[in-house]
Amino acid sequence: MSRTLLDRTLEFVKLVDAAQSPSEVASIVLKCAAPHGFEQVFAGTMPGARERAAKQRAHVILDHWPQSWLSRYFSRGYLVVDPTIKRVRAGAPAFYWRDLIETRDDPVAQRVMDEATDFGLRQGLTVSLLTLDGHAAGLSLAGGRIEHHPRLKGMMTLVASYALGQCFGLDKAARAAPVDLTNREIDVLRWLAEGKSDRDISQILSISEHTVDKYLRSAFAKLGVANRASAVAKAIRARVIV
Amino acid sequence: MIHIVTAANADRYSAELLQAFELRHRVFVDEKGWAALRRPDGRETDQFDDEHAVHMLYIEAGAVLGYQRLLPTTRPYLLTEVYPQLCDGRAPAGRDIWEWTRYCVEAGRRERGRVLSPVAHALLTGIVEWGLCGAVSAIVIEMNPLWLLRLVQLHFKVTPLGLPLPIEGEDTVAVIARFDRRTLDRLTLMRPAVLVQGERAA
Repeated sequence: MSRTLLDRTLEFVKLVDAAQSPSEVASIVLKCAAPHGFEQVFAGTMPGARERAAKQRAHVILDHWPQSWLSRYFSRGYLVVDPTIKRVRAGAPAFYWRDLIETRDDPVAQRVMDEATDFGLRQGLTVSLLTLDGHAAGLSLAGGRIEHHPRLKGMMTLVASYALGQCFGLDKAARAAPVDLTNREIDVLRWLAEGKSDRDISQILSISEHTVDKYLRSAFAKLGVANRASAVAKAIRARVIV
Repeated sequence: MIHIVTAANADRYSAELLQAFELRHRVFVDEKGWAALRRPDGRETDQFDDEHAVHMLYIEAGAVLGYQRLLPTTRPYLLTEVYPQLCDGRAPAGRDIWEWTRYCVEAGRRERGRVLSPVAHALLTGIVEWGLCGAVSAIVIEMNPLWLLRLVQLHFKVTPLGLPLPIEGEDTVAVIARFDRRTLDRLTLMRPAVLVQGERAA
């Protein structure tokens, strides 16, 4: 069995690598998981504890989940009581929902799982992941009647990692505008675009050359570039500087 | 910074190598509880610490704070000898493929739930730079699958060699991870954020 599962995983890796959108990733995941009874997939990074419902939804990455359940879930604040979310935040290894012992003495957690059943999410499996910037992420697969097998948990752990890896790559490529450059970083980039040297810039802004370098490095990181020329080009393209 | 220790220069690093073996013992035996590796002298070594091993030490002010070892796959290595069950099919072998083992970082110098710690970053970059200089293009890793997403995000092209299995109580998957210039670029980009993070902490 394990060799077949591995072959199917390798096939999945090849397919998902060519996916162009998260919805395409979701359907490739489901195609791979369908033989084991999975019909729905949902994945996202973990919102901060105090984020409001509207912001919580911004963390969703893969969304092939009953929409009526999601509305109910977010509007009722189930995110904070959902036992699968607690395990994902703790970085627990992949688990089947039926093995959630937390629900035994937590009626609220039990109710969330019971209600999910009413929306077709009767049995499921959740994988915890960790992104490069240290955020917990989770991927859940569910269906009316799924196969329970330890090797399947391992396979879906791999599948989830590649699926989210591909989505993050797509997101990065699609994001045209850079994020929150500070005023100082923009100042340095603006003078750099004027052809000034680090020493010139340090004198103009009355800061040390070391500090100029520090602002540049952090601007590079935010812009996703590796050198000065690309930084200026990207900053102009993104209208950070004119 | 990273120091690469091989049979050619081991005599100049004898004290640091002992420190590295002690770090390995603290992390793998005392912390992770791999009882089979316990040694009375508190220095963890195995049959692969021979003249073919490449040791990479992260040393700061004389103290070894991070360590990893690379083993050639043209000879028997950990995956083929110790964890063959993790490899479903033929184990990778080739002059351009090395096995990454015994990665460890001193307890106080690890990432605190956020980005890669500076020591972890230096060790990882060390492998890729060393590899690109020496015509090495892939590493075999036995690791917690929790690492897989991070490697993919770092532009390693990762292929699983088997499905994850519990080893010493921890889920472990064997993979082969190919890397190139893009991987190094990505790691370089990660660096400033790490430095800023370190400065903020200090």
